[in-house]
Amino acid sequence: MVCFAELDFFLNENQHPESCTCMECETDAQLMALVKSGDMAAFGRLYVKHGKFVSHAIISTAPELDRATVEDLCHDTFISLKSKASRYTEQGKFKAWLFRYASLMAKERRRKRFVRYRLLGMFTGQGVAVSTTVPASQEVVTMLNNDVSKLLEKLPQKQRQILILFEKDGMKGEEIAELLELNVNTVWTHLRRARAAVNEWIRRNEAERGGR
Amino acid sequence: MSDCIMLQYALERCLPEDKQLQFETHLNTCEACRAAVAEWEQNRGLIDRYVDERTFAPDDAAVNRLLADVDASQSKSNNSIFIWAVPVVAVAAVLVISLLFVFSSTQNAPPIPTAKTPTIAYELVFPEKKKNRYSVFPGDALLGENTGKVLRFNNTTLGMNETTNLQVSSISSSHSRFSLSSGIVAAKLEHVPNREQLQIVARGVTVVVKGTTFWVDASKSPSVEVGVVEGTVWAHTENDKKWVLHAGHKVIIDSNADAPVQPISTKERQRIQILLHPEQRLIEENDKEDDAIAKEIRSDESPSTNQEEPSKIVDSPGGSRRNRVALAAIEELLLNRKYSQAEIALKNRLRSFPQEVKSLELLATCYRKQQKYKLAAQVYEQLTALGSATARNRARFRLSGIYQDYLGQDTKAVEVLRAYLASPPATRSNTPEARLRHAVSLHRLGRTAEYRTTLQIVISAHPGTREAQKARQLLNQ
Repeated sequence: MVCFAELDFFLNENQHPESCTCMECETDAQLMALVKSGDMAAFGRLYVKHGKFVSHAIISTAPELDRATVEDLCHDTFISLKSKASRYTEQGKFKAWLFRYASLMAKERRRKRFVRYRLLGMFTGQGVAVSTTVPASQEVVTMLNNDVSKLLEKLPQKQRQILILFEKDGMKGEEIAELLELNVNTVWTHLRRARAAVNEWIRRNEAERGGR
Repeated sequence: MSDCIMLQYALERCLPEDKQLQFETHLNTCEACRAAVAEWEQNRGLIDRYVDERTFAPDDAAVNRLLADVDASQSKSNNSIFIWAVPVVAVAAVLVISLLFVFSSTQNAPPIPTAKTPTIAYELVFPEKKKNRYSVFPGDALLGENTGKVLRFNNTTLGMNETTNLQVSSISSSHSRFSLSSGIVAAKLEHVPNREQLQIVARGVTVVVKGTTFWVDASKSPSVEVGVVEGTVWAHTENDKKWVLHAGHKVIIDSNADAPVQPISTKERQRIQILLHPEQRLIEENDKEDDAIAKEIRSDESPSTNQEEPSKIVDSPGGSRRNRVALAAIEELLLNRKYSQAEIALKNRLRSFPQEVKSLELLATCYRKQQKYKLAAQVYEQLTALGSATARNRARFRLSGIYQDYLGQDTKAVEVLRAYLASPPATRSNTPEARLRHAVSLHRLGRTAEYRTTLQIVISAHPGTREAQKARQLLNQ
């Protein structure tokens, strides 16, 4: 079956026509309007389109979480999104809203686990590593020695978020600034500091290993 | 990291295309920049790997899972309401059944609610103050029945006389609409601005009220009298004639003429007060009666003739104190197994109240206990046409037992039990036993097929009961 939108795309010098309704051209607002009207297929498309981004938002907020938990949270974020779709009004960028919501979900999960492990520690009499580090699962407990995990956890949240959004999502500085409601220069500053911290930490880590 | 500005821009992907080429050329010559880029690429790789391990990219299966979960969460939210509603519905069902029982025990009781959506609960203030709250449904008829009745709901008091027939059109906490087909209704509403609204429609005249005391009298056919004791009432006809009635005024609305507004008399005021507060009248009457009894005792005279109206149909020993005392004394006689004395007392009482259900039931019991089964059957037959549905069914059940066990009249027993089983289930309290009895009579009459079917019904409809066990035994024989 010929997709006329795609055909137009090739004929018009790789430019999508204005009326194009292909997944790439479908805006978030259009998708949300469809979701609002009960279009489940549109909801599925929204999930595919932003699933990875939501994962990154979760990881950048709570890097200690394992994959299963990230998937779980991503899933929950979209289920909540569906229930809130009827109340959604397009005021700002949908992506920014989604990022904030996913971050909140991740923070909430982090807080709950923190409390749970704290309580477990109280009852079992064993100290549980808390500070900024909260083991997400047994798997993560064993991965606490993982250098990268430690490194990411040590980074301030803003730096971590900017680093992941820039490097992993390929977002531009301006986009990140809009998403996090920051000045663009602040974004660059955070990014440089994050990179410097990563480089320094790895260098020191390698030096320590070499020293042993 | 190198301090090269171009490197920073390159790393920030901010270099324009031409500068990008320039930077690549620069990299070939600048060792520091090359090392910095290489270092970052390596370090970045570590972070990439870490993040990629945890990143979740939804595929078709994940989408399907999500959609299924959304469906499930929606139905779960619906179900949660249902789950919450189940005990509420169960409690409501129990209440309705108990209400039916209470309703049936008194002839003056409010009408039995039909199986519609309940809208509001009301309290019976008169003739017997009952704390139980009854549900009233649209389509129900509120009847004054013999003594008149006073109902209270949502800060509204409705007083009815003995001929009142008030149909409930709609009723809710904020808006109630009644249709008066006969009799008088007096209403008193607590003033709750913009909340309470009551409408009464009588022969095309709609009376709308907010926080007031008024009456609508539809007993003077074909006109409708609307009077206001307190507050303001707005009345209009189907022909769009309108009246605004203030306190102390009434209007007799006739569809053919322009009705003038008239002042209300003191007598009418009193009548409305009595309709709304009949208990005060009752207290006064009881006080008078007490005085009369005291006089009788003082003068040591023999009991005078009964002062109560002989035509009064009473379902239960309500009403005056003397009635209650008399029935309590008869019950005492029965409890002491003085059946012959109780029989005489009941017969005397039935001369005054020939259709009093409670007295007839006690008389039938007296006959039964004295093994006068034919007489007992006669009384029970009389009772099957009197009182509420539950009382009639109670009589049918007893009557079937007498026919079956003592008079050997199985054909009559089958007839009576059929009538019993055909009545609404809520009005029957011995359904399994009645079915079993029905089966036994059918067997005695040689109607084996029907007998077996009835036994099977007992087993399937009342599993786990003693009757079901017995039915199974009978089927196996």
